[in-house]
Amino acid sequence: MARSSDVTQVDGDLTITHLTKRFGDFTAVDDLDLNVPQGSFFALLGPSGCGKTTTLRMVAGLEEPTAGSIAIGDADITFSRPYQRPVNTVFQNYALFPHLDIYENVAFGLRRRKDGDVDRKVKEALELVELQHVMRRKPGQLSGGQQQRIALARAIVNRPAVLLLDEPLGALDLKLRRQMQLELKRIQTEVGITFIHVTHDQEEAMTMADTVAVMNAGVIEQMGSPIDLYESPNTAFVANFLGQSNLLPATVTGADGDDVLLSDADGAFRVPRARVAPGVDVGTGRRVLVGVRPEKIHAELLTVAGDAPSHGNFVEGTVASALFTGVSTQYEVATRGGDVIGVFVQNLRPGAVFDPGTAVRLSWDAGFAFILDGSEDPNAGALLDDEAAD
Amino acid sequence: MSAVVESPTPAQRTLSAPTRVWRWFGSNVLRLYAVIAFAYLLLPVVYTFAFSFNDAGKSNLVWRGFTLDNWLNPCGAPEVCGSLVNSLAIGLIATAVATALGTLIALSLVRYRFRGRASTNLLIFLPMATPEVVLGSSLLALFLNLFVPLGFWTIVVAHIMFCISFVVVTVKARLASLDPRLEQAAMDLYANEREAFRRITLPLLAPGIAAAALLAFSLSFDDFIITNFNSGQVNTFPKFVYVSANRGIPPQANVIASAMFIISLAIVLIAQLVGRARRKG
Ligand SMILES: Nc1ncnc2c1ncn2[C@@H]1O[C@H](COP(=O)(O)OP(=O)(O)OP(=O)(O)O)[C@@H](O)[C@H]1O
Ligand SMILES: [Mg+2]
Repeated sequence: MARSSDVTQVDGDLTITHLTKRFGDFTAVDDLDLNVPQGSFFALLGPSGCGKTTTLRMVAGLEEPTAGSIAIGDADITFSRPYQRPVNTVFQNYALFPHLDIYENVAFGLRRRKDGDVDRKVKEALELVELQHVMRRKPGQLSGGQQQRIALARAIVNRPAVLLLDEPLGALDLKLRRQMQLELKRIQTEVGITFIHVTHDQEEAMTMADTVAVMNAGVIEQMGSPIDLYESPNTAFVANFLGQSNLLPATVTGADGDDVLLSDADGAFRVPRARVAPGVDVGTGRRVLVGVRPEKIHAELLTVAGDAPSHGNFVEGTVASALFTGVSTQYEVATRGGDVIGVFVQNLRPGAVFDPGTAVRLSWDAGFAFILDGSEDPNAGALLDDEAAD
Repeated sequence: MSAVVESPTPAQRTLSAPTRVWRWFGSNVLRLYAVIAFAYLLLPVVYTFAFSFNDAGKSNLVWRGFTLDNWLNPCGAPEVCGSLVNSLAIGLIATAVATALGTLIALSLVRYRFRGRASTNLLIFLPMATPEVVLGSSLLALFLNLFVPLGFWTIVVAHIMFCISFVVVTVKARLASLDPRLEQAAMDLYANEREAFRRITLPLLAPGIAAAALLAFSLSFDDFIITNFNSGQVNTFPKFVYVSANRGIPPQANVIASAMFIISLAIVLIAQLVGRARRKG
């Protein structure tokens, strides 16, 4: 006879379709679609309150979706009980059982499933997180970082099809966090389980994950490899939340072969058609945002006015501020047309820093710019990024 | 008033005698108060304890000399032990039932949203707020109307009724401080509802439940007013003491009372020691 607690033994991709969660009339997760390939390290990145935890809780079975479905491989688990899912969670606050010692905490899942090999598996899991020596202590006697690793061991020892990690490193200081990021990545590669890692730290998401989904206000703004997201953001929110971007309002003036031609108060630009975000209309006369990452901009001393590069992607202005950071110098340049453009210049030669007030010409390769919808707020997600960085 | 509790400075040595007495009194008023309060609290206990060794004749009001007879033969006086056994039996049954029911009520009040939850919360407080005389007499009226013969079981029912409230309040306090995510973590780790309750919720709730049970037992054992209304011919220990107070309480009653005091003190001490050892180990 099948016991009611029998766990669905499946593996495969995690597929989320049209997933929606409403609390009263507040929509926390809005028609979410996701496909997480088996064995991948997937990061769900977004600002506080955007619905990350709610999404994870629905996958874990701790929250019932208002609509939509969740499946692992071919098995629909939308309405299975939490203990029937081949899914384990590392909770945001760890949620270790305070009355059980570390060994029993880690053994908990195995014992419930009547595993025949508890002792060996628990010791292996503790070895994996390098904490065999605290086996007989209570959770209250461990440091934050140790508790975090035990929470990981307690989940991973069950070899779930999907492991959910809800900001597991949020409570750790920066140094320990960087160390644990490498550790997590190592463990994921070692055990080959699908990891869904929730974070609001963009650097953490980019360094660890194969695929990053950027979430904002209950919807996925964009999903892809860290390089894709960084080099070709589709929305102003993604452009600003992942790293920094200069987003300049401009008007489409026409087309030239594979390039879109644009102009703003500072002059004329061109951007390849392939660099236009999906769904953005670049018909003549349309208002759009031209995006350029600060490190893709070349800055040079403006010696002779009018001595412009032939490809056209340049603006002139004066240095408003210069911030020397060692590896690079970060400038803010006020353009003639009234924009402020951020520029990161690598310090290749000592003593080559422009002082504030210097007249400079900024230029970039047409292929490095990208075009976003003109109706978007150029500052969307920019302030949130500062919040996430600390 | 704040000047009174200042510590004396060299300049104050020249102060007049009454002022100095006043100052001393001021700086020691708290200690003095503590001593008086403890004396006030413990004097009846000391008296009871001392007179349990009295070689009493007909009444145990005057000291007639020291004896161990009362302690060696606590059932010597008629009805002392019979009423004690009744009280213990009623206390144990009422505690067991009230603790089980009260814990379940507390769980449902904290964990579930249902219609009438707010009013249930309020109703639970009612038996604690109502004067015992009122409770006792209304229960009596109820039993008489239903033609329930008064006796052992009517006492048990009455005690369960007022003990439940205290159990609910005590367990609820403990439950409120329990992180619901622990139970969710257990379910995430393949424990079904029953296992999550048994392995996580219940052990973490145990200290609260134990405290509630002790409270219920002492309330039941101690109760006189409600019992007196609903007991019929059955004698409980408090009722026995009350009735015999007219013709002098036998020293054996003092023995029982003193023994109860010592046992409960021992329980508290052991609990403290065990708790400290566990926190260290
Ligand atoms: N039980 C609930 N009842 C009502 N609203 C809720 C509930 N749980 C979450 N919410 C709301 O849903 C939104 C998303 O919450 P969620 O916890 O998923 O955010 P998050 O992305 O995990 O944020 P954080 O990074 O701060 O953990 C929030 O606005 C929150 O207030
Ligand atoms: Mg969260």
